[in-house]
Amino acid sequence: MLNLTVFTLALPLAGFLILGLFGRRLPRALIAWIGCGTILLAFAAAAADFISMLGTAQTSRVADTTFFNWVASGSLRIDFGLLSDPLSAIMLLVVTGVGFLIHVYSIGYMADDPGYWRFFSFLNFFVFAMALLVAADNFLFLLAGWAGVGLASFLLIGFWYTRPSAVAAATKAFVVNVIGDFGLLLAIFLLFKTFGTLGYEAILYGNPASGHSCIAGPFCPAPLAIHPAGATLTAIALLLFVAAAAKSAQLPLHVWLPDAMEGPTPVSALIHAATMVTAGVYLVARAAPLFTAAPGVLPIVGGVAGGTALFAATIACVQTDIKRVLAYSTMSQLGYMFMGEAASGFSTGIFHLTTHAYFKALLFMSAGAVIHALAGEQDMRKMGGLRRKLPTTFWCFVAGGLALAAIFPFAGFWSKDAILGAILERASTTGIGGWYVLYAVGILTAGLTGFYTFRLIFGVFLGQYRGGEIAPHGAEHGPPEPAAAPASRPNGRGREVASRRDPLARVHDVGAAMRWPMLILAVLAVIGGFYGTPFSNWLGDFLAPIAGTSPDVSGGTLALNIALGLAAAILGIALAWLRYGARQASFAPTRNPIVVFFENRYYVDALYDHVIVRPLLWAGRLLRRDLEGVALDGGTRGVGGVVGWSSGVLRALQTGYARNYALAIFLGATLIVVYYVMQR
Amino acid sequence: MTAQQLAFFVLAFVAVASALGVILFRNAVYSMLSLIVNLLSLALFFLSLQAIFVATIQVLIYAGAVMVLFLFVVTMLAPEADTNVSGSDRLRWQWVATAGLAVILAGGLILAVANGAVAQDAKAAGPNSLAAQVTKVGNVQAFGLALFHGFSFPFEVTSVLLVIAVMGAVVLSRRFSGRERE
Amino acid sequence: MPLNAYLIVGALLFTIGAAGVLVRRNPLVMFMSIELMLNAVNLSFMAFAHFLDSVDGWMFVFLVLTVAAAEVVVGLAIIVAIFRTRREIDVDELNTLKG
Repeated sequence: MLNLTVFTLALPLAGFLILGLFGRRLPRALIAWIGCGTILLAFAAAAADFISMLGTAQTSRVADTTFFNWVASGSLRIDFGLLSDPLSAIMLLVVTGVGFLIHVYSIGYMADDPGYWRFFSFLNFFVFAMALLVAADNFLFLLAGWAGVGLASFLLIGFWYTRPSAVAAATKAFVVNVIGDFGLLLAIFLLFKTFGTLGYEAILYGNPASGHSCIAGPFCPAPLAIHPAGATLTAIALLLFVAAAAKSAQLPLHVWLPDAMEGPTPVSALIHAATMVTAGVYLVARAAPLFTAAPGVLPIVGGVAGGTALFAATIACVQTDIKRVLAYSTMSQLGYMFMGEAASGFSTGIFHLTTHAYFKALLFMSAGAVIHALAGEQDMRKMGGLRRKLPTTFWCFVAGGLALAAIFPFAGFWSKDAILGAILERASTTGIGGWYVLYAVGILTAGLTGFYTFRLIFGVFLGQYRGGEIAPHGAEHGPPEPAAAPASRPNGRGREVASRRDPLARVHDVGAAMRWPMLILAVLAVIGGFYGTPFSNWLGDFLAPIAGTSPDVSGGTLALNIALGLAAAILGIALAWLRYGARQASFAPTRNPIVVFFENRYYVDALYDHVIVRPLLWAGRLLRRDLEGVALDGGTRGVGGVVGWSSGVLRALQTGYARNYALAIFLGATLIVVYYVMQR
Repeated sequence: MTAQQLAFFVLAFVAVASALGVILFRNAVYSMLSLIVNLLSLALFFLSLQAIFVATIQVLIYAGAVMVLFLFVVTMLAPEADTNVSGSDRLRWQWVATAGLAVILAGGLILAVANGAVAQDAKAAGPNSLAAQVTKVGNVQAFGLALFHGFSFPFEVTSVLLVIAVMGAVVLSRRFSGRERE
Repeated sequence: MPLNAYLIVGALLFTIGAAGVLVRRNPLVMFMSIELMLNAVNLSFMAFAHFLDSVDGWMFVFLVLTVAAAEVVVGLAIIVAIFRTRREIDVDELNTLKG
């Protein structure tokens, strides 16, 4: 079986280095070729691996290539190795495939941007880091990739670094991510302490050759199985989940994702919808035996995920920025993925990951097309009636929206149903009430999903145009970079003065570079769910050696599940139609306290600000003023001051009068005489 | 009380009184005259100590030459014969300090003398027999023998010192012309 | 008279001379007080020479005398140089060493 994973890593890395070092001087066409070409070749390598994997027997679909030894310290031995197994193959296909499409899309979207070369350089770096994350065969290099994607996220969110809001958002994302990194690091420490090694195969699946033990579970050969203390396993699993929650924007570490929309739309599409945020889902799936063996962790995961899904969906219903709606939608869908994994349906989570990648990337691309057409406008309240001007975008949006809302037979329908089915099956097998509650939350959120998705579509594309003048083309890309390539190409058609009669006169639909990726993804959004249907769950079988078998939904429960899911979604869409479609959409501000509460995102950011940020700043200021200023600086200056004061005192002795000096001598002589007398 | 003792007490009284006069008279000339009296009384003391030559020297050089120098300077600096110092004393407190310290010092010294400490320390190093020599060759010769034999080196150095002093006096009292004004 | 008598007289003269240096502002009187101190020491030396039967006392007196003479010469020259051009003669005027 082939393992060409090294090319999947090396090619984007080479692209990053070449574009990073020389990109400023290269012509645009070459930048585009290099940037996209590397990813295409990486995709080819991933595809070759996948195809060769299909050709091998199911039980031996693992190819672990070790390249060199990285750490040899005492009993700790870590090698840099790349793993090719079903889970990593699926992830790599998604990352490089969707990544390639977004790279092509960026050729069109970022065409007016002075930082063109920098953008592709960073995107390539991201793909490299993400590939490292999913292809590493031990937790240490997983952490390396984890940190790498965090860095890429920071660089790309703050891509337009002259904007303070972008820089602040990038910093916020990075800080929250680091909390997750810390959790992952602690988990790694515990893993090493418990197992003595950090490789996957040693911990999770066992390795008869080296004699490493594994956690007792379905994939661990009996002679190698160990049963670490439940508390240790729970701690490891929870720490891993903390890392996953930070990366995948689950409560309470979700605060960075909405702000991350400050980055360019392709970034939002690739990193914050399709791939980076799914790293947490991947991690949980990869460590599935660990999560299964750790008592009490999966319900916690399910609870947090369910809460996040509902929380995010409610907020999405009242957002007015189209990218923010999609951001919260992403958060909600990620919650779904974790819910599926929590119900021991690890492969359902991965399934939803893939379909979500298709339709969410599509939605972001379409939103990007709208923003691009309106030269930077992102507020829904200033849109409307764009259907006539942007037909391709509109139909792409509809395709993605239907997939997101999980309408039959779109991709999202199958994956979301798989998740809900797994939860329902778990509920009925274990009989624990909590799973039913989780199921109810899932259904409710499905309804909300339909609502906010079509609120968005109707608000943007139907009705009358509510906006004003449109800025010149390419205005959202900001002023040119210092000492850079020539500024944006002027748009031959446009003029500064908008037509009085129709402000949408200059608005045009997407160019070729942007259109083809969108169309491809639209097709995937329609047919991309057919490899995971309950009738022939190809994906579930494919992932079974890694992720285990999901709870199987039987006939009656299956029908019930499908019916409830569809009903909720259709209800949501209908409500959206009633409120926003049939008549002119009304986005007037409302006094409804519930809506206000949602609009303020449950005041979580305000809470963090008051509880964490301000005390820290206060403490910092206090220390600087008192500890440094008064105590340390004051102490050192005080020493000098004392010296000065004492010398001032002593100076009084130097009166300048000879008689005083003579008196001093006289005094000394007298003392000597007195001493002499005393001696006798 | 013998005549000697009486003489001693009178002389002591005169010496101390004139010393006080030196430091207490307002007029500098009167101080100077008091000093002369003091020097003379000391010369008489020396006489009573059987040191005729030194007494003579004291009168000649000290009371004679040195005090004449003083007189010249006093009159040169204050041609109106009023050599009082004008202005008020800026260091009045020094009187009190001085008085106190002086009492302590005098008391200490007298104590040191009275309880035999000084005499104990000043034990003779051997029989120098000054008195014998004086009776043999006389005062002057004894003095000369000591000076030019035992103390010849200090004698020569002293002559150098005197030369230096004269040169210093000449240089210091030179009136500087316009070019070299300090 | 015993040695101590002379020594006590010498001590008294010395103290008076020292006090004079400290309290008088006229430089000439200060100088005279210094001479007084030297003379007191001379008296002590002479007393010791007599009572210890040693000629070294006489020698020291001689040297003190000579050095005192030299010192008076130079000192008076300095005083003249400083106070020649001034109206008042006050040692306290020379306080430029004030720190």
